[in-house]
Amino acid sequence: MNPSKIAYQARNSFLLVWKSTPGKIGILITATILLIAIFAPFIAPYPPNKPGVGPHYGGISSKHLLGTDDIGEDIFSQLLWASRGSIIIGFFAGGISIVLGVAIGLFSGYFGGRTDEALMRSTDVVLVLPLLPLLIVIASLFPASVFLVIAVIGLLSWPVTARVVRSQTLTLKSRPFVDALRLSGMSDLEIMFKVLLPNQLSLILSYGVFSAVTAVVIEAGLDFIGLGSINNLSWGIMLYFALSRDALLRGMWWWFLPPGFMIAVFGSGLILLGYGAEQAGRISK
Amino acid sequence: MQSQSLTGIFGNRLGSSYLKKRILAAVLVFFVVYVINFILPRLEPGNVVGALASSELLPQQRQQIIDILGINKPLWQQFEIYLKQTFGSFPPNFGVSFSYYPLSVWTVVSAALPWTLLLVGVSQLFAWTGGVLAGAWLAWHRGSKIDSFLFGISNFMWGVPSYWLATILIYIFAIKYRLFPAALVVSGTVTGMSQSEILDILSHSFLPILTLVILNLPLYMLVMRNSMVNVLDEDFMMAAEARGLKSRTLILGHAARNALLPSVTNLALSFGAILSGAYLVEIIFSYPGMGFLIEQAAMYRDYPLLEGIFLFSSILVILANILADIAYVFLDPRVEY
Amino acid sequence: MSDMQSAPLESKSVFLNVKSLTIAYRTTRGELRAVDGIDLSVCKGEILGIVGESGCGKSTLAFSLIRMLPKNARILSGEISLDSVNVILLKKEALRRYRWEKVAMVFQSAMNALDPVKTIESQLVETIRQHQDVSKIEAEKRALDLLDLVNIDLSRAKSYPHQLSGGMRQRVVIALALCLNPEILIADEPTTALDVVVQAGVLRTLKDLQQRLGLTVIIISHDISIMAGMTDRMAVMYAGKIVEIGSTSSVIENPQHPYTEALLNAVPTVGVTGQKISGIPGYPPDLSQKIIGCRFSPRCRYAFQKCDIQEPPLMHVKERLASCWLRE
Repeated sequence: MNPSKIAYQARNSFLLVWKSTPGKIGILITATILLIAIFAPFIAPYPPNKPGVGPHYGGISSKHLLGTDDIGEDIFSQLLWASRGSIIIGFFAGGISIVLGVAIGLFSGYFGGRTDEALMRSTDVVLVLPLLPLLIVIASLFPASVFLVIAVIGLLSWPVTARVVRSQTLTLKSRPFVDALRLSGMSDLEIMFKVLLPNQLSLILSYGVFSAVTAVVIEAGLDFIGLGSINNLSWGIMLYFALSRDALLRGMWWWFLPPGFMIAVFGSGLILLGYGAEQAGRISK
Repeated sequence: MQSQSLTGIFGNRLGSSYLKKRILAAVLVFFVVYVINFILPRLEPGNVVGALASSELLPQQRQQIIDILGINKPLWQQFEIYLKQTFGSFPPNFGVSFSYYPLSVWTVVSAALPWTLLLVGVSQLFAWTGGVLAGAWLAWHRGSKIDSFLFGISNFMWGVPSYWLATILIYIFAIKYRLFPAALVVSGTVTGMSQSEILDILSHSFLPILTLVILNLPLYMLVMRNSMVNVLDEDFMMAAEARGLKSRTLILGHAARNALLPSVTNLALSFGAILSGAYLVEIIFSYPGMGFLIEQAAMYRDYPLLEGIFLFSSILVILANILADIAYVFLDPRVEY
Repeated sequence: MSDMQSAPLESKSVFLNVKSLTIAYRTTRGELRAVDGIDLSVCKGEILGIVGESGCGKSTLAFSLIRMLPKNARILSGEISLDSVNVILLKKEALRRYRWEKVAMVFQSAMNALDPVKTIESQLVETIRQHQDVSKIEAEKRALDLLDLVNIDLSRAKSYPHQLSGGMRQRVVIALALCLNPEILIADEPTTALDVVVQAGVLRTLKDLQQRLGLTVIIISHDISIMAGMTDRMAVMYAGKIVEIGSTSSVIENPQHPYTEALLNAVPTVGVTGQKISGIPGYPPDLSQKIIGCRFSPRCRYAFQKCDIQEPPLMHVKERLASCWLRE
């Protein structure tokens, strides 16, 4: 797989997703948030954790677009910087979940038999585990470890992707060309990862986004109830601060509304991206 | 070949090997969860002892608990104790709670469970029924502007955090307009089921239930809409229309009836997520269900209680799945016997 | 023109009349005329066959008779009248009653014409009760009578579609079609997707029912071999037009249109050795484009100059009609 070929395929895929309206909006939203996260230091008018740049519990003003918090930090800057935390969570947790899901789905579908049985049984167990209670238990046992949280979410969100990949692999496997490839000397692993996998990329992306969105929302939930690590600024932590510092009682909707809104917008962006990928996959078939 | 009495169909379907398989699988899953539940806190025994040390318990009480849990004994012995504790008595003994000492975990959890069931039960009833009906209507009018609009909204709801939505609702209805109370489920203690008390409970439960309905209804609607769109394209729908059946019969009796099946499985599959969302809503409303309890337990590092809630939550998910399986067997005659 | 169409075997009354019917589909390539100016008369009690290859418009014609055209199809012009009621103008409740009470259809994919989650008895009962004001018990009795009529064991009445064999399902669909005693029964490819033995059974059932109930039947098929022995009259369609129509036996013995001849040559005869079976080279014309001259001429072995210039109308040849300049 030479780099120019990969670049060519990437460009093609991008254009296909761009074609559909949901895909277009999804790309725009996700790209915007990604850019915000990368360039936060340059766009944010103030450092996010510098107290006293404005009044305490300040309202919306021309100097502070979203007002200031209880110790005078600028909320708008916080909002921009917090995108980093949430994107990292979505990306890594979603990534782990996709990688696991794809691997399990491929092996399960391709080899069938006992491997399939065993893997599907474990899928049943993982599906049943309620994510939030488990995360709460883990967070109270091993506090303030974002990476552990990301790992756990990733390790428990793969079933949906795995099932989809598995059924797709089963369908593809029954087609004669797979047998032909095997006869021509391709190893099983090669067939799985070089042939079956690329055929399902759009499908994987369209389901993988759901794990990413769930990850962001649930992790923010953990932050929100105070079990997250305060040092890692994310939209969930912002909500936690807003509520524990009386934003609700003071009616400071400009403090507690934006962070949740950003989570929702980011989530929608990802899901629309997934739809675009699904439609692109259908067009190219 | 097939008996026609209700008990005949009932017994016939329930006795099917498909259901037996599913129940066996559920028991297996429960056991795995049970073991996980046991292992988790014991991965870091230092934490448990530390939690005890920082709690408000007296030294003799702490020692009592340590003895009960058998923290200093080897792992397999602890598991033996754990097993005997759980299945040795009725009601099952899941240990003693640290933060509610000397109440047992079972007592504490069984007091909170009904509230959670109320919240989840009522909200999902409205959300699912409403979502299914809306989804069916949308599918019948697919391509219209309302369809695109609601489709967009449903997608947006996926990313909306339940606690954020709860906050907004609290702000609007409890603080700005003072229509509903913002916290707890009753103004005082529940002493009976008098009419005024029921009204009180209802007014306190209204916002939490509303939050979950707003959050979940669009998701159910989306699934039903997509499923119904697929069913409407099927040959038998065209054949039914050709037979001159009335529109209502076509939409409800045939299309929706067939499209319902994925919605039932969807309910089961997403129950874990629904429960998680419900817990977060409980926390923000200080609604005394299992969600509220688990946050308290986490704050006080009350490990037995944490274990108990985790186990019960898993049981709820397993039960929801089994119920969905049973419903599916009744709804779809094609399910293998 | 219409009196030339009848050619009835006995003096029966014409009661389904199609005049200058043109139906077009809106496609990405433009407007596609699937049915282009068709005239057709059907007499009460006769069995008419419509034969042609895929895409010739026969199914479109059939669906228009029951007003079940897909959303992207439009009747551009013409008239369909049954007992002097213009079917094209029917709307809503009148249309709903027209369907199945006057004209019923046995679909091509009969396998999938049944709702998988309902018993076959309930589907029969439902159809009856949505049209007629009868009690449930009465409707159930009628349903059982119908199943009996199509030779389905009554103990299977409460079965679900997936529990029945393909042939049985096809017969259930026939029973469904008959449940309101329609005046006309249309069978759209009744034997496709069935194996040969089952095919024969279904055809026999159809013929038997027609004789017993005095139905008027229209059979649509691409398979000309089922027409012999089943139909009284036969119409051959090509590229949206009827190219030959007459009594089945005479058309088969002595085809007057080159397309009919080619179709017959493509079917082997049992018991005759050393046959040369020929296909028909080329493809049907693109109906989204305007066609000049005879539609079949590009593929016709007898084509001559006039064929490419002017489209032949249906002409009297012997006791039937054919549209070919050869017969002028």
